[in-house]
Amino acid sequence: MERSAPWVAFGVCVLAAGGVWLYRAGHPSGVSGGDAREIVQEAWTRGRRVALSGEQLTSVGGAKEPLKTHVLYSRSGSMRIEYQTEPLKGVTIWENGGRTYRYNPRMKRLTVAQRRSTPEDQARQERQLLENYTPKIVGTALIADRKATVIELRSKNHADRLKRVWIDPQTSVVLGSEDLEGHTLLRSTKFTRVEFLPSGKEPAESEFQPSDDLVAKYGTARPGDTSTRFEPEQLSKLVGFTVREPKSVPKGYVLQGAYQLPCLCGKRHQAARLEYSDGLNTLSLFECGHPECTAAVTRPKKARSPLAFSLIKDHFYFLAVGDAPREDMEKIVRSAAE
Amino acid sequence: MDCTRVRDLLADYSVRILDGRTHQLVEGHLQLCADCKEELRVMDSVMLLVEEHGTLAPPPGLFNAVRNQIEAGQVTRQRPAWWAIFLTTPARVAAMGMAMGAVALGLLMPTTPTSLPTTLDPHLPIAGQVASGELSSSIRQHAMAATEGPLADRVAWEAMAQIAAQQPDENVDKKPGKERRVE
Repeated sequence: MERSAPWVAFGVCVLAAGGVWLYRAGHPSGVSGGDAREIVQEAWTRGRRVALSGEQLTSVGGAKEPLKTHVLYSRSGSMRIEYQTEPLKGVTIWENGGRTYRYNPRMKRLTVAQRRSTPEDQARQERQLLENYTPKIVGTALIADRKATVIELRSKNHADRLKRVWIDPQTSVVLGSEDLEGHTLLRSTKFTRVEFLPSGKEPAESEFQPSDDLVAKYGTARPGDTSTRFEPEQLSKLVGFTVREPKSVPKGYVLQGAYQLPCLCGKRHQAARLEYSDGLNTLSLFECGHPECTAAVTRPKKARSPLAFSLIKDHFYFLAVGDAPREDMEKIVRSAAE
Repeated sequence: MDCTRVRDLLADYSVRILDGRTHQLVEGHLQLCADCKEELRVMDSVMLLVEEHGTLAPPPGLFNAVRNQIEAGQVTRQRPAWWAIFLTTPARVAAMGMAMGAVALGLLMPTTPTSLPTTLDPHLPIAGQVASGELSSSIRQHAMAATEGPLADRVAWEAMAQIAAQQPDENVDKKPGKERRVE
């Protein structure tokens, strides 16, 4: 027995080390107090009220290379996003006091729109997010030279849908965000540099609105960017056809509202957009039931997009756009068309 | 004198080396206590066996016979068990070293999932490609709506809305149909 003692000690140590590792994996070090749920809630409350300036890299469909952006946020919630690389070089978004300006120099257009969501809408979406997604701390990682807590939000209804966020434990600012479907990255934005601005160095409010010259030269309110929300029945009277609500929507999604917009076909009649959300992802269902609508008889040259599914039935045009799996979009469209 | 004390003295009593007074006390107890008397009887029988066989000698010629067999090569050396190697000194030292290594690994090995990218890989597959044509304006509208979620990736969605806005609207091939899926 004495001679085999080192081997017995080895076995005991392997078991103990495995236990220690598993414990550490389940309780990452360096994570500030509170659970994942609290950290996420802090991110969308306290984290949105931090003045900062920073550089980000964003990957989206339609851009071959990650886009470089400069962002500026104030303590009051105002923000400015400046895109610095093609194809969006010069595009700038300003938001202050509930008004959003979007300037695109290539199109020589500055659109102005009211921010649609109210604090009540925000609160409802936050509740929905926590009902439909399970947040979990998965570790810590260095991002923009800061050690961030990494949290994964997994959909309870769609196993392959996942959002990963990097949250700064000191300020609760979201330093990075990834949206994934399975192993496929849908969108990603991460800070490469961030500077938190103390009270004395806060940017002036003028930083969060376009110059008067720019507004005078290019300013326009684009039809369809309206903030007015309707119930589907109310909207039916406005658009001149009966807006059809789908009988089946993906689990967890709830109707947020119905909006009026100029029809996608470019004619002068009005169409409808029904907006559904599960708290994190949004689904839009476009409908046009005007007999003269050419969207209902149009076949686009370039067709397939993983973001969209459309159907024409009896000159009624349906188009679902969103992050939802394609089969879910097909389901929502077909159930509306029935 | 109680039984425990008597049993401690039984061996000395049986070979008569107790002093006279103690000898008498033990003897008196044995006359009254059947259990201790039986204990003495068993002890005496064992001693008798030892006296009978304690002087047995090995049979004459045993050692010579063994030696002759060895010299004649009739004795085969028994091979040690395969696992005996683990009981050698180097193996035991190695075991202690590995034990310490295991503890160090448990304490220091990173726990961050390997699937967690720490840097942005620009070559990751990007889904959700923006289409041109009618989809562009619908995706623009959708992207603008999607910017308002609690954890929405605002920068990415605004970028998608602007990229979509830059796509030309292409409405062609105007042919009526009863039901047609357009993708």
